[in-house]
Amino acid sequence: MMLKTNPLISIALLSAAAGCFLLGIGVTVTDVVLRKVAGINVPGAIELTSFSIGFGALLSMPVCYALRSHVTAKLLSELKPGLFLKPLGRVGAVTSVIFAAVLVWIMGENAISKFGSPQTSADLGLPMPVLLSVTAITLGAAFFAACVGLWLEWRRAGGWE
Amino acid sequence: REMRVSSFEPPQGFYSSKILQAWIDEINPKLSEGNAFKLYPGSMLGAPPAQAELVKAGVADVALVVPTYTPGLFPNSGVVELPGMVTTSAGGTNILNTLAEEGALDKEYADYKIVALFTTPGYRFFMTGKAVTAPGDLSGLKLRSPSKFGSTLFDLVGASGVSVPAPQVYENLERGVVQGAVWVMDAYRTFRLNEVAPYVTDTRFTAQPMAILMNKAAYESLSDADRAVLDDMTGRATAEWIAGVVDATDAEIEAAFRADGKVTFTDLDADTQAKWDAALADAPAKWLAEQADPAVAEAVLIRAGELGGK
Amino acid sequence: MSGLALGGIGFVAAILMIFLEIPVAVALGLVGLGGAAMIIGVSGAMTIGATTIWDSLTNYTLTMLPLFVMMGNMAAQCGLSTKLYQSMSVLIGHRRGGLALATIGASAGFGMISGSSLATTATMGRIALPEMQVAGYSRALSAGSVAAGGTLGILIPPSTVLVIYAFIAEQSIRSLLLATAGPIVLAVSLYCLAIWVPIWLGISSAPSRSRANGAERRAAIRELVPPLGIFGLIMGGLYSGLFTANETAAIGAAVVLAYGVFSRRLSWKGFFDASMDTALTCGALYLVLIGANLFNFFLALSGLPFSLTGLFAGILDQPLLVILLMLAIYLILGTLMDSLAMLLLTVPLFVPVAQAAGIDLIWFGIFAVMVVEMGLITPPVGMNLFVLKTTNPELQMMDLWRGVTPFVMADLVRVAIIIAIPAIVTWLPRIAI
Ligand code: NA
Ligand code: NA
Repeated sequence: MMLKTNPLISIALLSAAAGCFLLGIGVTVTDVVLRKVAGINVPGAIELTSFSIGFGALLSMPVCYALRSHVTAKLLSELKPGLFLKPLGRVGAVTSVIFAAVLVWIMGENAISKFGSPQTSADLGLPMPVLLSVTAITLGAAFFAACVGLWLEWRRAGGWE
Repeated sequence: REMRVSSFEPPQGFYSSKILQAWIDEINPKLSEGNAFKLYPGSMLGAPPAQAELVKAGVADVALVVPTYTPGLFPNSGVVELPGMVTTSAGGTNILNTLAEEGALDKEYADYKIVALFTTPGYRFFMTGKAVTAPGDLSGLKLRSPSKFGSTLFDLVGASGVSVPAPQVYENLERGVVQGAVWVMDAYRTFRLNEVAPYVTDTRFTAQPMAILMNKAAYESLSDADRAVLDDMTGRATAEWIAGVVDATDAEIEAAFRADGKVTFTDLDADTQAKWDAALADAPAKWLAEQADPAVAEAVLIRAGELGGK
Repeated sequence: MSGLALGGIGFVAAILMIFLEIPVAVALGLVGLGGAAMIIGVSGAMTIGATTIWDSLTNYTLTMLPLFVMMGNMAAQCGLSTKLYQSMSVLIGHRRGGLALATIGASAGFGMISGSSLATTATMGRIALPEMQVAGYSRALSAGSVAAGGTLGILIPPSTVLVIYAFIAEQSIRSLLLATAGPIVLAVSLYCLAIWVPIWLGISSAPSRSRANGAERRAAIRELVPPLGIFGLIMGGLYSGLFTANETAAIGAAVVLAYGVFSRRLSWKGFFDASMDTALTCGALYLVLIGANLFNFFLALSGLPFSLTGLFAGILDQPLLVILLMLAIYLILGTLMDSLAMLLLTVPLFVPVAQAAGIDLIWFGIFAVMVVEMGLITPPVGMNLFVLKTTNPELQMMDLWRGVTPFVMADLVRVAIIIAIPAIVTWLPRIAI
């Protein structure tokens, strides 16, 4: 069922996300091993791990919207699929698009307001405007993906795939 | 109007209960009918590094801000981090307030109405395995760093700084991720670090600037009478009151731990202190090198040095 | 409109939206942002939104979530969890409900390396659920035992929630960790009863199988060696003080990967599938975390948590009444809120009340963790149920709700017992000093 919308883009995003998780594992394990063996530590290991894993989660969000694999409490559509599945599916897809749009608006505004700010991340000293812009752009991709998810939901209207 | 005072500390925390709540309790009766400050403790309105942004945007009307949590935003306030600059909160508070009065901090606090600028007392060493006396004792060790510049300071004495969020310091000390931390006595007691780091070196390695800031628009929207009440309870006098509470608490907790006898205190004599001063002699140059505007920073450094008695 | 009324309306609106099958993240997030905008204005709400998104994405403690999800997925792809379950089935499957018992035991074991109930549920959901389905266990029993077993993740150390409680309430982490010992034994015993009683009553189906012969049993025991070895390595490191909880997550994932590669049980395809699954699950989970955080800021701004504590004035001389009232509030909040968020909102408000009523704060910490963990499996918003549903989309919510009912009852009995006999919590920290 997975990755049907645009397999290549979805696979690329999810692979990049998994790569971020693996990087987080690598940094932490290296830090532990160096600490035990050589008594030294990877500079900024905690922030590097936090950033890489958080970025991984962020990269998987567009796929989550496109495939509509959100955490959803399905009750009505399971009790009476004929009655509820289509309208509630559409409501869910529309509100997802709204939420995705609100998030990209919020993060985009915030990133723009920080352009030129000298603020850096606390440990690695990475420029905050760049970090926030990357977050905003990825959320922009998530908004686009949510629109794809909505389009797929509507196309399903006639019946079952 | 109810005005939100944001604290990242829990309500029982030192700054929440002894400073912010005390300030609120004193100012509220003086404000005009319907206006009152209310404490939102425990990071209810946002994480510790977000406090400056929250008060600037007006989510909080007042917030307790640690300027070093957002490197780059309050560069000159960081001058109090330099070793030897701050012993007591009173001393550090004098430095920051004098700098502010002379305009050196105007740029970095331009977006805010300053309620109080103050500092922590100087940071002591809290070690897990053995006491630290001379700088050489730190060689190769990993220590919990209070800030980005704190890590630079550790580099100078051959140690390395690890950034650990405050609530996780206990676990990281216990697991040996870090062999020590530099911090204040209040945190030592609050986080029960005495259980895992029973060696205290009574030095003053660095310190942190602190600020209670108010949203500018919120201040300006008040009536003349309320603004007068606020003016009366902001600025140097308020900062000095805070510093007094901070220093008294610090001394009281230290005395309690010394009396208890389960914690080993190491006091430095003049010779040993000289070794520390020598090892950290490059600190001002390192600090200047990290600043975006070295010319301004240098003037701040010189003035702060005069005020700090260096 | 007053903030308080707005908070109440928002609370109800979120429940309704979730019932209308709007994704949980979307419902909580939109209500949270909309409500915050009504209280502090649009630009303030946008600032809260931006700082919340950033804080959620870069929170160090939360990094354990993807790592444990990945660890579980890789372990499943290695067949490691499958082998473990097959062995369990051979060894105790002939007993009634044997595999469900094994699920509780394995969840408890996994809870010893995971500080998160969600990660425990996600992992055991992938491992235990399919095995029980194949063995013919009813959906309700298999899903219920996984979801309930997952709640052991925050009770059994390491527990991020306990660390946070220790921080907020200024209590000794060591005492809190020691205090979990009695409640853990109690929890596991009561969960066994929650499995057996419905089977005896004929409500759950848990087919028993014939007892395996000696050779099969010896082969099964041999298969337990690699997983137990990996668990032993991780736990040994954790309890001997070699690693922090976060590091355990990374090392656990690395060890499972290394095991898969060196035993040749992890194929490239298995690695790829596990990676895809992990990413997709974590994208959804982080969206929920962002939504839940936004909702919590709105609740805090509305003042609803503040006015809840106003209820307590006047009954401070009756600790039992205070406890029961708090229990009621937790059960109500727990229907809708995330456990950590709930704890963060209530502990700062409840601890002073508990202290004033003369309640032991170590005991209160364990009590609070127990009741917020119940919220993870109570409908309509039970995060463990959602995690299970995300990892196994074919499960129906009704099955899940039916399945957790006996376990929720077991939880209530457990809470009643520690209220009646507080010494179950406090004896170990006391004698350890
Ligand atoms: Na655990
Ligand atoms: Na619930």
